[in-house]
Amino acid sequence: MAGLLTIAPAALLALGAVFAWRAPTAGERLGRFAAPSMAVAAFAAAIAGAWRVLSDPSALPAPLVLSPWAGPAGSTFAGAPTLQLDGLTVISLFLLTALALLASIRCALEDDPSALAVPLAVAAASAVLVLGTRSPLGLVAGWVALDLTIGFMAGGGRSSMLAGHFGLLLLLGGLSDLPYDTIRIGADSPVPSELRRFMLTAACLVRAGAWPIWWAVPRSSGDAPWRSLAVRGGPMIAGLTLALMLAEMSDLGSGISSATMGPGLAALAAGAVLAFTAPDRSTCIDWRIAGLTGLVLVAAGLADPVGEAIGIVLLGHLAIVTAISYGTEGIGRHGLGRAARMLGIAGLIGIPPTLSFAGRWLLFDQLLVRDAAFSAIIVFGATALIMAPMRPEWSRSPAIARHAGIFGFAMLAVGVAGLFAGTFIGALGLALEAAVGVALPSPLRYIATTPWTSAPASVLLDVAAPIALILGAAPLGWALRWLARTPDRHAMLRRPVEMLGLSRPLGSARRGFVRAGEGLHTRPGFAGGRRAMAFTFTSAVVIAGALLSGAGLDTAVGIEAVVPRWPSMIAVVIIAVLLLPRPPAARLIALVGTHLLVAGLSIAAGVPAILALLTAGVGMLVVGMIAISVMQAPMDRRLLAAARRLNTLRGRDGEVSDRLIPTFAIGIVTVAALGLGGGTLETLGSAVALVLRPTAILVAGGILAAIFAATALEVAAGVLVAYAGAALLYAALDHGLLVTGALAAFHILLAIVISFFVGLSAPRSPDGGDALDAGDAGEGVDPPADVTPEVVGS
Amino acid sequence: MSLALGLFFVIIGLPFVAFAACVALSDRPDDVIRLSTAGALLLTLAASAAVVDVELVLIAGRSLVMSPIAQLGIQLLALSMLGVALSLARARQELVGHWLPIAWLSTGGLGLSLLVSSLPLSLLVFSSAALIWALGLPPSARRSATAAVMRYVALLALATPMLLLAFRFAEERSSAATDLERVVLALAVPGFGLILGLIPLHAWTLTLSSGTPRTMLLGVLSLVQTTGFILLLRTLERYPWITEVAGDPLIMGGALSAVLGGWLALSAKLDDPDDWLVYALVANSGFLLMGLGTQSYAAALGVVLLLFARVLALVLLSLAPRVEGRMRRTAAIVATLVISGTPGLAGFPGLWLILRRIGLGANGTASLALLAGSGLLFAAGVRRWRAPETEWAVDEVQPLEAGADVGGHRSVVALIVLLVVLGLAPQLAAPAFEGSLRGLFLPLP
Repeated sequence: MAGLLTIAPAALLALGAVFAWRAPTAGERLGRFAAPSMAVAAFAAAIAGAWRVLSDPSALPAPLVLSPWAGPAGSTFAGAPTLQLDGLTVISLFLLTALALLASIRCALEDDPSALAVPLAVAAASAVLVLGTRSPLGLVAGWVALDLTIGFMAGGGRSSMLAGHFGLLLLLGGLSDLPYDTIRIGADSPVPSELRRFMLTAACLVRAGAWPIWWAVPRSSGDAPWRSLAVRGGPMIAGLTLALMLAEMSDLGSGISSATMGPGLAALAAGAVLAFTAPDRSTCIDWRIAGLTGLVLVAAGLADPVGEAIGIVLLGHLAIVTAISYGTEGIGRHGLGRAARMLGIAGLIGIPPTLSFAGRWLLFDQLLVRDAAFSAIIVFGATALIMAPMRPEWSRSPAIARHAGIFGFAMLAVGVAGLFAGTFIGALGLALEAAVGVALPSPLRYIATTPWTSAPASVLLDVAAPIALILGAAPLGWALRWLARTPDRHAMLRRPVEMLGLSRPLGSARRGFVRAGEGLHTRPGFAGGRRAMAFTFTSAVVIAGALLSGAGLDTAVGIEAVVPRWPSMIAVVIIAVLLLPRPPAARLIALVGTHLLVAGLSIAAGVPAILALLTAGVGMLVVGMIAISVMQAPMDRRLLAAARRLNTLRGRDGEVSDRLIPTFAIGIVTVAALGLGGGTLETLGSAVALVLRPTAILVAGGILAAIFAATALEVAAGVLVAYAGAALLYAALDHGLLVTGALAAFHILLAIVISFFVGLSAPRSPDGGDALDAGDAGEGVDPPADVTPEVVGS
Repeated sequence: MSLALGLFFVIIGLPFVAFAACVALSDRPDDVIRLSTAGALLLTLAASAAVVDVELVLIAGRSLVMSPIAQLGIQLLALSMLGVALSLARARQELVGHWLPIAWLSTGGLGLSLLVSSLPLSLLVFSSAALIWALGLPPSARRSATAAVMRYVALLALATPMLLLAFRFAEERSSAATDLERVVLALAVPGFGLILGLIPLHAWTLTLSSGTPRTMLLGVLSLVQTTGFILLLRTLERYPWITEVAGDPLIMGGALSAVLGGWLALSAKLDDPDDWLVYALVANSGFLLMGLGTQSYAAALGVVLLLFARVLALVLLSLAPRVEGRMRRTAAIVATLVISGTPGLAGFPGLWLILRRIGLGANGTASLALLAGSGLLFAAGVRRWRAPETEWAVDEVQPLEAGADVGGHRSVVALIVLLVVLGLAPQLAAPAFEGSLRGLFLPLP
């Protein structure tokens, strides 16, 4: 039953969305009233839930598990996505369902009942997020549900999906700091680090549609601004609920910091500036609401339960401003509607006894008490800009034809409710105490009972300063608007702050980011050519070198003195033959030499003769297979002629540089390998010491040959020399028959594959080579027109 | 002969029997496809029902053992093979006749490599089975693929001895010779990095994607790289000290691959059907490595879950060409989002476990890299929604027959539903994988 009460508001709103979506095919009466009825039921369910929780805060309903993540006790998954009612969430649900109800009433007065589908769907998803704020996975589930709803249904599109996902990543980053077995977030959770708190607060900003990543929530539409009651109001309340929940996670008066206050102040200030310089009426309203969202975040930034309680008061005020701002759009000059609008303006200004006055007084009081005068000044300036009157030339959208009075009355009721709440904030304090554990003083009563004449100056300042900051903002806002009254001045102001909207600069940054990635991908030519090989093997060597640093390899040990140099010298000759001459025969000779050297060294290193002979025999077999492939490679005289022409045109310079670099490389490898101190490895025995340097030379030379290779044969020869070198070291370490046999089998398989492709690849070029790559660009060069395309290797 | 041993023989022999049947029936492509699909399903079931620790003694102290990790690996291999078979369901006879026998032979070899008790032998069998893919190219694609295949061969030929030496030095390591640990890492990290295509050792995968047909690319990425990961798990199981010593390199390398892979996947040209996939898998491999680097049991389970999801995503990508229009795009996007670990899909539970474990202590910054990689992949998926429909998973070398493909459509829908269900209720799959980590040394819970 408790679970039903938990999910009821969200489920009923979702059901209402379905009814509204199906309205065109349902009967007229059903189509018009079914969805609003669901919104009424959701509101009633939210009130019932609030009553259940606030009347007995010590017995919260059990969490409702959404999906089976956590298994039986001891499962690796520490928790499941759950929904839970508690003091904070019931208040948020109440406000959320109230906004959805207002949207339903307004839609019922319009001609298109199906227009309610999206607002109710967004409200339902927002309700899930509100209910999920207490569990890490519940938050994720609600967030994703809201992202999908906004992206696919509310017209948010790709940009809102990306922004929403960015917020989700911030949320995940913030949550990752919590202990692994945290299954409930709240007052008993550990205090997050500054970075994680900043990430979580930034996630709240994104979710609430506030500056800077404001496009996670779609802008209000000019033709049906009432939809924003739920489409913007829902995510806003959900995001702020999360922010207020974060305030719980700190001890009372534990201190404020830039991480807690910064995001809210930035959102407030930027929202205010953008509202003041907005190009049209609906944008101005959007930014006003977004700015006031920042105000709630500033309260949450006080980072303790007092801040949470003040935030709840300001959240109530924000819901009222949202309802009146979007709800009265388009109802024309009907008397009740005008009256509601006046109350909305009074609330915006903060005239006592509105809820806005109470919330702001408490906020300024706390900021001044905590020596955060700078924050108080920013709040003062920003609220001045927010309450600056709109430009007179902005025309109103057309009034609804019928029942404007009914909706005007509903709006007036909302405004009066705000006045009522502001007047009796002291009584509401009891409900707040049940919700968050902190009772707030009633500013009105406090002011009324303050002995002004006898109190010391500091007390007067404590009482008067917040009042001055609240009431002084409106004249300042009006003055600023008067100064910017002409279209020219307004335009002059708009231009510099346009960038503050960030969509354009961030769009450019995104394009630059993608282009830079494209450049990183295409310029080095990773997709083909020798550069891929060179880059890969260089990286492997660098990684290995980095990991080897400090491994003791540079430590000379006594055994080094008795190791003969001749194997290394032979290895150097082999790689020189492998790298420098062009003819295929040179590669084959190098391969034969390698296998003979490996066999000789294996026997010298104590490997059983039978194994050494087996290895040598397999090596010779491999050389034979490749030699046959080279001889049987297809010939195409037309390609030879084309290649000759190309060589003539290119001259011989290229060839000189082709030889020069490998020559230097051989020199470097030789010097490095001969100077190599085996250290740790040589302590493994004299056999290892004997083969270590030749192995290093053969492996490095083979890799170099593969890197500089222009033909399939050259790659093959390089690879096989390196393979044989590495196998030599392995043989010195392990004399077992089984692995040696398996290595030989792999060697043969390697040769089969290599010879298959050597046989397939391009014919020999005029100077004896064959073309695997057309230069560094790899696959990029087409053959001449008279050459059969399929003959060209790559 | 006990039932357990009989089942063990089925698991070992089934791929080779399927290979022989595919060769024998090569002129009847429909039968080959049906047989391969049934064979892959049977292998999945047999691997799931296999009795763990059943052993078949060979010579010289070596044996074939169905370890928990091997069981997991064979299940993933069978699923990958199912994807290969289904993706070729409407391909030309020539392609079916060439690819499927080779794919079965490779699957058989890769499966054997997971069962062989000796790591060096296991590695050699693995490399051989990976090498066989080069021989499956249809005649029309062989010449143009020479450069790419030669580099792939070069990679295997060089990575194999590196890892062999690493295993050998690991055997020589003792408490008195801990310097050898660094030598082992110096060989094993680039060796596995090459096989798994991690940044900066990933270039060969790009070469492969640009030079070979998509079937080979998907086969190597799903069958070979998945087995490579299981081989890495086996290595960590055999040499527990590596888990501790390699923790930081694994996390650093993983973070680099996650971020750069994600960035490059996002930046891949919209008209290139393969590069984004390669980079997406590079980033995903980065997630997996980071999970292993945490030395945590929960994160290791996350790695396994993410690996399972990755295989399913690759199967979905293999199937994508069989459907048209919006469904094809949806399949490709869902696969990308699974690889990125997006909530609501099968990749998220694994990512979540890794994230929650990596977010603690000194590795806190690495969690940001993990999230950045995931976010960039998500952005890549959203960006690629705009890619021309023809660029989604279409292979010029092996065009599919035209006409309605009801089976393909149903398979894609079923797979998408499965990926969503696994994302919403991971408990359906997680317990099955928990046993596979039994042998790993994971000091943290």
